[in-house]
This record gives sequence, structure tokens and C-alpha cells, in this order.
Amino acid sequence: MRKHLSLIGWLCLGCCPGFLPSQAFSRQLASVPRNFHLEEPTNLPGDYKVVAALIKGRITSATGEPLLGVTVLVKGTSTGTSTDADGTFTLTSPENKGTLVVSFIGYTTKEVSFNGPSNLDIPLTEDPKAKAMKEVVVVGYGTQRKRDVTGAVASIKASEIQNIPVPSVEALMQGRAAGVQVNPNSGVPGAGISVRIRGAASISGGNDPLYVVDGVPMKGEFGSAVGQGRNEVSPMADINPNDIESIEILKDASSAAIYGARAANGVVLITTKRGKANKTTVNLNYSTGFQSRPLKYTLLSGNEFKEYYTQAHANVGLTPAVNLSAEGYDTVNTDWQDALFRKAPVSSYDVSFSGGNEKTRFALSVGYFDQEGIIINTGYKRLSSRLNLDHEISKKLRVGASISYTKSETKRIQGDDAGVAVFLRTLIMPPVVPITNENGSYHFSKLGLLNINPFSVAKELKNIAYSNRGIANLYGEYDILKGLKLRVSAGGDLLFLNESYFNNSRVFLAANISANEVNVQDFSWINENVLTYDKSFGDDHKLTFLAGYSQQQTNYTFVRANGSGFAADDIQTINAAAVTTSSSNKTSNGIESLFSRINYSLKDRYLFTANLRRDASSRFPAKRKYATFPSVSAGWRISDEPFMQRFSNLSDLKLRVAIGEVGNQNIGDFRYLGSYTSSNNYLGRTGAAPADIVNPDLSWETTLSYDVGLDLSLFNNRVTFTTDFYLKETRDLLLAVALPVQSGFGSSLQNIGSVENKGMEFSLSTVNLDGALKWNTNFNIAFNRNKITQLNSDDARIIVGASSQFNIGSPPSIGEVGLPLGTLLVYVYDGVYSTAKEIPPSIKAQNMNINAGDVRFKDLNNDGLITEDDRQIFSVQPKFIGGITNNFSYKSFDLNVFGQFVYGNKVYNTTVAGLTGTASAFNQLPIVRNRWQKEGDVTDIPRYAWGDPGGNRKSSTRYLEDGSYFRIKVLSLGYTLPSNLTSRARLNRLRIYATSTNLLTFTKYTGMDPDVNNVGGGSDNPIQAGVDHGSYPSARTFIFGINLGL
Amino acid sequence: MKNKSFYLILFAFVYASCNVTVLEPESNIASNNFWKSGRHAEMGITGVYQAFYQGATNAPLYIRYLYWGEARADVYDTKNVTQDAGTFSIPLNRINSNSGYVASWAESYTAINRANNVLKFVPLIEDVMLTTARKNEILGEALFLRALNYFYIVRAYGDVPLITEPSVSLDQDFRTPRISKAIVLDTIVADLLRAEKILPVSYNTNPQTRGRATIGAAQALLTSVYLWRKDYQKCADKAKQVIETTSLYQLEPDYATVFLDNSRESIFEIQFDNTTQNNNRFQEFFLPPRFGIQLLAPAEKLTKDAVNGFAANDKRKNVTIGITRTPVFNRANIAYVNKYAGAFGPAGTTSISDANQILLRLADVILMRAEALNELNTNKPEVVALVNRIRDRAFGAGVKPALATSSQSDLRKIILQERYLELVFEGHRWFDLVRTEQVDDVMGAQFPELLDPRKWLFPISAAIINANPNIIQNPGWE
Repeated sequence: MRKHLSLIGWLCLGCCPGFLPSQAFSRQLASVPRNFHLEEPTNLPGDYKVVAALIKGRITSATGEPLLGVTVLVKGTSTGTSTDADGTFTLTSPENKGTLVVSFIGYTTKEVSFNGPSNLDIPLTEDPKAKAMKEVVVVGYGTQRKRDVTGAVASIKASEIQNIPVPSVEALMQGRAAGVQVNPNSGVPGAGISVRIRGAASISGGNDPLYVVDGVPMKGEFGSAVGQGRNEVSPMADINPNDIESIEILKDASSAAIYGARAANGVVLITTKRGKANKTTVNLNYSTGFQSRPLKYTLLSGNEFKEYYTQAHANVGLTPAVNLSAEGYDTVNTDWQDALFRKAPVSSYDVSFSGGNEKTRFALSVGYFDQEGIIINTGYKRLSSRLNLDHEISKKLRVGASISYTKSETKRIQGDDAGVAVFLRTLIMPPVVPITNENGSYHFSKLGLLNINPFSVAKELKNIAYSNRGIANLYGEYDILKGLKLRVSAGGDLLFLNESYFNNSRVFLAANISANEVNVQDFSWINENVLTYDKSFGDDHKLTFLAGYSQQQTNYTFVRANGSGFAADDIQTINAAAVTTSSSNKTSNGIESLFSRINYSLKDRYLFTANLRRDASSRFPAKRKYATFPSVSAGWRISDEPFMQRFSNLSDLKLRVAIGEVGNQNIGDFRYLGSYTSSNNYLGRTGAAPADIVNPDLSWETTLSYDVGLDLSLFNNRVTFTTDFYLKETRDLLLAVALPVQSGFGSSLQNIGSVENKGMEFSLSTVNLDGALKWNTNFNIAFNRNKITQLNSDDARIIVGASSQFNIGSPPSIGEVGLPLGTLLVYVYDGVYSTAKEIPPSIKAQNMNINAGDVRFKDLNNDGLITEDDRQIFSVQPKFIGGITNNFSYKSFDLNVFGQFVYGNKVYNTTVAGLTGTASAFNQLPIVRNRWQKEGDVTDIPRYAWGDPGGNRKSSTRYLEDGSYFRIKVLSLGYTLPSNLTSRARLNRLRIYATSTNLLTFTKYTGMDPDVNNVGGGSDNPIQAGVDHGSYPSARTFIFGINLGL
Repeated sequence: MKNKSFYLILFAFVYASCNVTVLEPESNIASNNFWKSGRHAEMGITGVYQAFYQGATNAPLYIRYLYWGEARADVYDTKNVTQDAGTFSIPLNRINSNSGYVASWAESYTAINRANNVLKFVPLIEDVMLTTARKNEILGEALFLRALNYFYIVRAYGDVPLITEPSVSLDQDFRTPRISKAIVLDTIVADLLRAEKILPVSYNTNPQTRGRATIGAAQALLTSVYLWRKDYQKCADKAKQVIETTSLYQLEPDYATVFLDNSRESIFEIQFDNTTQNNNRFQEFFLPPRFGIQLLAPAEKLTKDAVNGFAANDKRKNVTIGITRTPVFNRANIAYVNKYAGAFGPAGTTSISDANQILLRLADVILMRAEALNELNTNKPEVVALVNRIRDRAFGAGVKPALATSSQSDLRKIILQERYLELVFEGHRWFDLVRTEQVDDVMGAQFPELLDPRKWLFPISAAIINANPNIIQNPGWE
């Protein structure tokens, strides 16, 4: 299914939003005041003239919702009325024949003729211009008309991300918004996901954005306590994506500065669905389907493996340590991949109720999501529930709440890369090794390092994370004066995580039954008090002023118990252990803030926004505790200037300029403080020793960001285009700086160094067809360039060694001034020595064991030797990333095709390095059939050589692959039953759909999944990136669903 | 009414809230809250001892004592070494400024800093529960441990930075240069003389007495320091004080008993214990591959050469060196260091041994007195008698002909050889060869680079020099 990349070109061309001429759209605005209906009708029924007609009717939106307050006028007269809450109206026309003019703000005015007394059903369609005018986006502490936004804000709407079988929100953001790079850390269902908004800016301060759900900043990450590599649970998976109304991504400092010290990596605002005052609606959604692995590696057969094993020893003059026949390994041909992988079901059930009246509105939902992993004994289950409530106590006072509770269970395998590395082992296990012995017990291979059975580990090892999480936010809102509003809210996020691990007697060869139990309780509370003042002065001046105070505190408690020496597998709790150890710790942090924002618009054309936030954080010492983060931005709506009026196709043109500062405080708690830790024992006495040295200057990482953007809409908003150019300079990076060791300390966290990100983003939305066949396209693309601009000294190098599992090494990563974060250091692969004569004498002298058939590495510095100085640096960063969505609908059918792409990145394929190492008992890819076999062979696959005497396995460009890909991320086809059928069944709506995720991937990458972020060893250091160290791949999914509105 | 209640709620939130940014750590102690009570003093001094265990996996401080004191000498096998990396490279004398295991003094300064904290802050503690006597003992322990750690690095590296104040804040300048080793040795002597006055004779249990600083430990260490300074009279006198403390220190009649924990001969040994998880990694270093990786095996000279190594009837041989009986990975008869066998944890919990590591014991002190007296050349009979005490135990009285009077230079060789056989694998041999300036004679043939005495000092790690430009590399290691 993988095709050449040039297919991307075809595909893009095919989907390219060729604009088609439209029928003339009215640019006229409904100018009737909204509260018209409150005034006495001027013509009362009964006040009729010679001939009169009683006209009745009902006015609805395109989707059938009744519209309240629609103005209905008899054309050419002053006779008119407005609709009531059911959308109905009654009027008496002075003439028997005539035309009704139906107008409503935000909708295209419609004329309907009548002849005599009539009963009319009039559907109104929304006016695109007016829709654009009133479209609002959520911004920090409020909402704003989208057209007034002067910062860089991207929005993702509910419709784009719903009913996709993916547990967590972050994954759904991938490819949807320009400049947001999303990488799953692992394909394990529910696992953590890394999100980078406009590039990574911090080396040790974390790079994930701040997530704010209905005003409550969420804990963005928590490491797994049971060593799981990057299989930690994603805290964002606790939000059911089907509850989400919209996601707003605040990308630049101007939009994010109101979140101050936590906004340097951008802010993701998640707003959940709230009730509306109308008839109660009930929605049921059910989907079910299955997932499968994206690819199966073809590997050597049992016989070929035997040949390889024998020859690899013979080539270096060794006798195999294991006699394959004697072990019974010559009759076996195990397919380890088929044993570990499976077709896994995924199902989702959602029920939601929403409705209410003018006074009280509610939205209530319950969801259950059950995803099994494509590797046995992995999976994710989530029960989520939510209640959003709004109530009006009086005209001036409102209260409400958002309350959610989620319970989830994540079954994991021992790290992709850490621990036993089940997935990697599955691939490298020789086919000659059986999974079980004849007596049914697990077989443990005699082949050296391979004496761990990946199947027994996957099947028997219990490794489950249970999470219980409640998030609640209550608010009260009071209109003090006209335009002046005070909102007070209090909320909490309580997470209880239990990780349960049991290693039973069957997992490993040497049975050592052991258990771990980890409990984490993480509670954070927040109180926010925001005063908003809206005022217009005349027609030209509009002012919004916001000021607030916020305080938040987080308390974290961790308890761990380990037990070993269990006598049997029956009792899996630690009370049955012979030897137990335990530990616990607690920590806390708090942040207190004052913030304000002024929006001023002059003539709706000149827009200004200024933000100021002052934060105090418990994480910094007294003299650095406070930080102020200002930002200003301005917008100029060029399209409203008189001189632009001749461009009649121009709906909107706005230039934006923004500058501001945001901070990052994402370091551990109390790091500034000199501290003593206890548990330093000697002779049974408990001691204490200094753990950290006082750093009285420890301070925030600060990001200064500039943004210039342009918003353009054409042809009555059928085409909208947004572009942004930005520069982010992050300074005072928090880095561990080596101290002179005679201080007694190895290093300390200091503010040294800076990183720069610059780039551009483009997004384009078009309505291509608007007739019976509707087609619209959203496209976005982003280019980011990242580099380190300062470290503790100009020649400082941060070299992070990668992990090396069973001699399958990943290359080290390097951080240096001028290099991007995510740079690998690898030797340059230059084929294979065809003859012994080709080996330069100096190379032979350096390693006597090099022979013909071994790898030739490039001697970059021409010193005749292959040393670490011959390694070349390669950036793994993509040249651009983006996504394209095409939505089609025709009559009752709708089709959504969402593609996502990354171009120009490099992936070091450590997995394939293991599978073509030709030096150990690992199974190999069939490509090794083309290996060097005899003097004079010209090939690029080295000889079989047990133990790798020639050093062929050095991390080299041989495994550095182009990771570019284009992926059909979502393909969804739906059919909505016509309303005459649904109404007969007393249903509001019935839609059935089929959706596939990760259906097709076009890439040259030879691994399972180019979309990886797994350097091995569980590191999340941004210097390390672009390594596929046996990553658990993302599954391909097919589901069928039904959506029912009652 | 409604409005009033609303304001009330708001008021409650804003004014009744605590200050959320004023927090204290719960699982650590902020340094400004430490050193306030007698308990803190006890915790602090225990932390200094605990520094023995600190360091990288293959190079915690207690292992470095062996690396510095012995690993380069003629005690470990160099013939069957398969790798030239890490621990393996030390007996091959293939070390350089990038050999992290031997080139760094980092862990020593961790211990020294902890001791400096005790010495600075414990005197300031005002707590009725902390008696003056106990306060002094704690200071004595810290002085002893600081001296011990300086003594190791001054022998390994020569001049070293002399730090006697605790590192508290980044405001301090840590780029201290190295200072003359004579000054460092003066400080060591002064510290030990002070410690000797305020330390207790013993503690309430035997493991405490052998595992913590005592008068005897301070005196034994002083003996060693004086000998290193060739201050022979003081060395002999100090040794005599230890030898005469017969109530506490006596030669064990059976050599094997010495290596069971906390024998009567032991003066100071680093304590390891499986039950408190303070176990050592000696099994990986010394025991045959069945238990892990054998990083260091005994030199063939010791196992096979009856002239330069153990005589066949030397009882110390089988205590010192073990031989595997059953084949391990197709190899039988693998020699291994047997002094640190220890006990093993309960099945399935840990295979890491808990043998103590002896730093100072009576036999060492006896031989040091013998060496000092021989250098003074005033009391030959006692020199002979002292050496014979050690020999008699090794062979049984009268089995090997007792040492008779011989020349001063012969006795020098005999004492050095006796120290070799008696104390091998206990971290003394390299320092003995350096002190007696015998490195070139004993090892020069095998390692010609050791003919250059500048190479007898260890190189200083490049990382240390990078972090502190005021540190200058030892000559010959640039």
C-alpha cells in the first residue's frame, strides 16, 4: 500500500481547491434592529383595509430549528411582525396578494410571495458574510469576534474531530491547525503524545503547551512511575473528544500572554459543549470497528535464518555457541509478528442530552470508549461523563458549572524501548525459536540475549494504569453596570492514578514473582476573578477592558510499594510478597497572577489589543518570584478602507502585527532552594545530605515572539486565507550546568542559553462547490526553522547518548549553537568493501578485524582513521508539515477526507538497523540476501559476521531515512436519512457512517510508522528526536457508526 | 440580597485564600530549615558516611578507593583481559584524562562537602538534646572522614583543591585552584589530631565501633599519613598507640576471620548490609562470571608464582584467592578475589554482596610500624618481631622459618612483600609502591610508561578541567 511520494503531488492536485464561479451573493446586511419584536406592532390585526389576508407561518433555520424574533414585513407597506419562540408569526396583510420580506440578523433576507390567506413554512439560510461577522473564537478569559482577533489563533471545530476512534484530543489536533506538530510517543492506546506549537523552544523546561479546559488549566503531563519508556498515560485522554465544542490554539505571544508564565509553548483552549435554550435534544452515537497493524515485516524464514546463523559464525572462524539442531531449532518456523499482533476491536458509545429554557440550560453526556491494542494484552478503556450547567438567577446574575468525571484503564506492554522492549523483540526473534515448549510452558531461547520471550512478556506481564479524574469548575457572573461584568470561578482537577504491575512466574526464565503498586494523587485548585467592561463610544470607538486575579495551587502525592519473592501467582497484591520496599513523596506548587487586557477598535478598522500579566510562582526564589509578561498587537482591516471598496470580491482583508513575551516555569518544584534529602543511610541510621545547591537567581525561561499575519477573505467568504510569519526567541533556558566538582555538586539548574524558532504558516479554506454537491477544502502548511542560539559557552556541546537495546544502537543526539534541536550525529555509510585490497592500510591497522564485505564509512576528516570526528550531523526536523481536509456532501451523503503530511524530516530507523545487522542471532530482513559473500561482490549489504568484528553496526546514514509522508489520516463517509423518513420514525436525525483512520500512508520510509518520536530510554529531551527505536506503530482503523438524534 | 451574597462569596475567595506561592518542600528539607536540632546533626554526620556509596554504577566512592589504591598495581590479571575499556583498562594502565572511573575526584568532594557542612553548622546548633560531648564526637567523625577523603586524593593526584567551607549557594566561587599537597597533608594531620582528641574510643555496638570513626581509627589513619610523609618517628609512635589498644584491637588468630565482618582486628571498615539496601557491587568486580561480570581477576603472579606470590603453605592464599570448581561458560578453574565474598540476599531478591570493605586494620598498622622503625633503623629486633607476628599467623608459628635479622634494605623488601601478601585487594599496593618508590622497579618491565614517575599520579578528568579552568592537568597527562 505504500507508493512513491510523487503520488502526493497527484493527490494534492486532485484536491486542489479550484474555485468555481458562484451565483451572486447578497452583500446586503439585515439592518433591522434585533429587538424589533419587543416594540408594539404598528399594524394590529383588525386594523384592516379593503382587502386583507391573514398570513400565518413558521420560520426555521436550514436545519429546522425555529427562529425567534425574525422580522416579517409585507413589502411596500409598514405592516410587519416578528416570530415567537416557536418561530411562528401571524399578520394581516393589507393586500390580498403581495410579497413578504423575511429578514433576520445573520441570515440572508428572503422574499416570499403570497396569494390570499396562507400558511407558509419559510426556511432561512445563513448569510456567509454575517456568519463571518458573528463568528467568535474563544480566547483567554473570554471570547472575541474572529474578525477582531489580532493575534495568531487557530480554531478546530467540533465537527472536524468528532466520531474518530482516537482517545485523546492531542492526536486529533494533528494536521488540523497550521504550525502545530503532533507526534504520538507510542501507538499504545491512550499513550502520551507530544505537541509542539511553532517548534520546541526549551531544552529541559518541557515543550508541551498549556491545556485549559473550560477555564481550568490542566496538568499536561505526568510521568509514569512504573518505568514504561514513553508509554506514560496521556492526561488529556481524560477528555472525551465528543464532548468538545471547539479547540482554540493560541500560537503567538499576543494571544497567549494572558496565560503568562505557562504560555511559552502556546496554549490550547478546549471548550466543551453547553446547553442551548430549546427543546431537549438527545443524541446517541455508537461506533464499532477494528484496527490492524499498518505493515508486517517480511523476515527470513527458519531455513534462511539457519544459514545466516551458521555462515555468520563461519565467516569469522567461530563455532556457533548454540547448536541449532541440538536445541530442536531446526524444525521450527515461528511467525512472532503474527503471534503478537492481532486485529483489535474498537468501540465507542456516547449518549448526550442538552437543552433547557431561557433560565436554565444544560448539557449532559456519558461516553464509553473501548480500544484494544494491536499488540496482545494492550488496550484502553474510558468511561467519561460530563455535566455543563448554566442558570440565570436574575437578569443580572448567572451561575453555572462544568463538571466531568472520567475513569480509564490502560493496559500497556513493557516499554516500546525501555525494559523488555516487547515490540522490538518480536521483530528480532529468530523464526527457529518456538513460542512454547511441547508441554505448553513458554520457551526461552538459548540464543544469548534472546532468552526473553516477547510473547510471554506481552501475554503474562500485568501492567495496567487505572486513572480516576474529576474536573469541576463553578462560576458566578454578575452584571454590575451595563457593560461591566464580574465573573468569579473556582475549579479543581483531581487525578488519582494507580499503576499496577505484576510479574508472574511465567514471564521470564528465572521466575522472580514481583509486583509494583504506585498511587499518585494530584490535586490542583484554581480560583479566578475577572472583571470585563464593554463600552462603545459613538459608532467609532469600541473598548473592552478586562482585569483579573487568579490563584492556583497543585499538590502531588506519590506512594509506591514494591514486593518480590512471591511464592505463587495467585495473590497479586503486595501483602503476599516475601520482601517489600516502599516509598512516598509529596510536592506542591502555586501560582498567583494579575492580568489585564484592553481591546480597542476604531471604526471597526483599526484594532488594538494589549495584554499584561504578572505572575508569582512558588518555583522561583524571592527575588525572581515575579515576572511580567506584556504583549501588544494591532490589526488593520484594509478591506473596510474607502479606497478598497472598488474590490467588490474582497470580503475581508486584515493585517495583524503582534509582539509579546511569555514565560515557561516548567521545572520541578523548589529547584531554586538548597535542600537536604533524607534516606541516606549508613549502619542502619538515616542520614541527610545536600541535594541541591541554592540558586538565588533561578528564573523563568522567557520567549519573546513577533508575529505578522494577514487574513484575507474573498468572494463573500468563499475563500479565506490566513498567513503568519513569526519569530520566537527563547532566552534564559533552564539548563543543567556543570559545576566545578570540588563544590560537592555535579551540576545545577541555571538560566543559560537561548533557542530561536522562526517560520511561516498558511491556511486556506475554500468553498469549491455550493450547489447540490457541496465541496469545501481546508488546507494548512507550516514551515518552522529552529536553532540553538546560545549555550553556556560558544563551544559547548550537549551530547545525549541514545539508548542501546541488545546492541541495536541509536545514534547520539547533539545540541550545539547553530544546530536545531533534534540533530543526530552519525557516520556516513559508503557501501561495502568489495575486495580486501580496497581497505586502506590505515583503516586495517586501526581494526585488524575489518575484511572485505565490511562497511566502508566515510573518513570525513581524511586522517585515515574512522573516529568519532568522522560523524556528520543531520537535522531530523521537517521542512514543512500540514494537512488538507476535503468535505463533500451530496443530498444525504457526506464524505470527509483528511490528509496530513510531513516533509523533509529524517528518521533514524533503529528497528531496521537491528534487522539488517548481520552480526547476531536477530532475525533479518530479506534484503540481506544481497549481502557481500565473496571477494569482488559489489553490493551495499555487508557480509554475515558474528559479533560484528568489522564495526558495521555503527550508527550510520545507512539507517537514516527520509521520513516524509502523506497520510490519509481520516476518511469518513456518512449518510443522513432524509427528514421525511426520520420524522416518521419520530427522530430528529439519523446518520450512519463509516470511518477509517490511517488508511493509507505514502512514504519512502521502510519502518512501520514514520510518525514516531521515540528515541529509546523514555527520554523527552527535545534534542533527541527522530529515532524509531522499535516504536509501537499507530494502527489502521475501520469503524462503522450510527448517530441518532431524538 | 442575592447581590450581597455574591459579593460575600467573592470576598471569601479573594481575601480568605492563603498565599499560594509561599510553599515549603515536604519530601526534602529546605537548607535554611536544616541544622536546627540534634537530630539534624546526627542525620548530617550519617550522610557523610553515606557518601562512601555515592557515584556512578561502576565507580562509587568506595570502589574508587580500590581504583586509586591498587587497581593499577601488580595485583590484577592483565593477560586474559578481553576489553580495553572502563574498569578493565585500569590494570592495563591504559588510563587517560577521559577515564572517568579513575580521573575524577568528584565523589571525594561530595563527601568532603558533606563533612564541611557538619563542621560549619553543627557547632551552631542550639539544642539541649545535643550534649557537648556528642557534638564533639560528631565533629570528630566529620574531621576523620574529611581527612580520609583528602588523604586518598592527595595520594592519587598530588596537589588538590583544599575546600574546608561548605558549598551552600551558587553565589560562591567554586573555581578553586589546586594547592600544594604539603598544605593538604598538613590540614589532614591537623584534622586527625583534633579528631583524636574528641572522638570516642568505641560506640555501643561492635559494628558501630568498627564502622564509624573512633580514636583508634584516627590514630591508624594518622599512622598512614605520617608514613606517607616519611615522618617515621611520629608514624611509629602513633602505630604503637593503636597496637597497644589491645582491649579493642587484636590480631585474629585465623586469617579467614578477618574478612568476616567487623573482626577484632578491624579498625575502620565501610559497612555494607543487605537488609538496609546498602550493598556493594564487589561480586561484579571480583566474583567469577556465574555472579555477573568478573571485572577484576587476581594476577597470575599471585596465584601461580610461589616466589613472588603466595607460597603453597601460606594460609592466606586460599582466603585471598578462590578457584571455581565447576565450569562457568565453558571455563573451569577461574581464579577470583575471595576477600569480599560476603553473604547474599534472600533468594530472588538480590545477588549483590554485603561484605564490608576494610580500610584500616591492625595488621596494616603493625607493618607500618615495622616499616617506620626500619627506616629509622634504631630498633631492628622489633621490626623483625613485628613482621614475624604477621608471618606466624600466615603460616602457623614456626612453620615458615621466622624472619631473622637482616639488613635495612633487605627488610624494606621483606616488609613491602609482606604488605603485598597480607593486604592484597584491600586497596594498598599501588600506594605502597608509590610511597616506597618501587613502581618502576616492580612494574616498569611490563609497563614502560611507568618508568616515568610523573605517571604515578593519576590524570585529572577533562570534565573537571573544563568546568574549572583554574585546574591544571598533572604533568605527563596533558
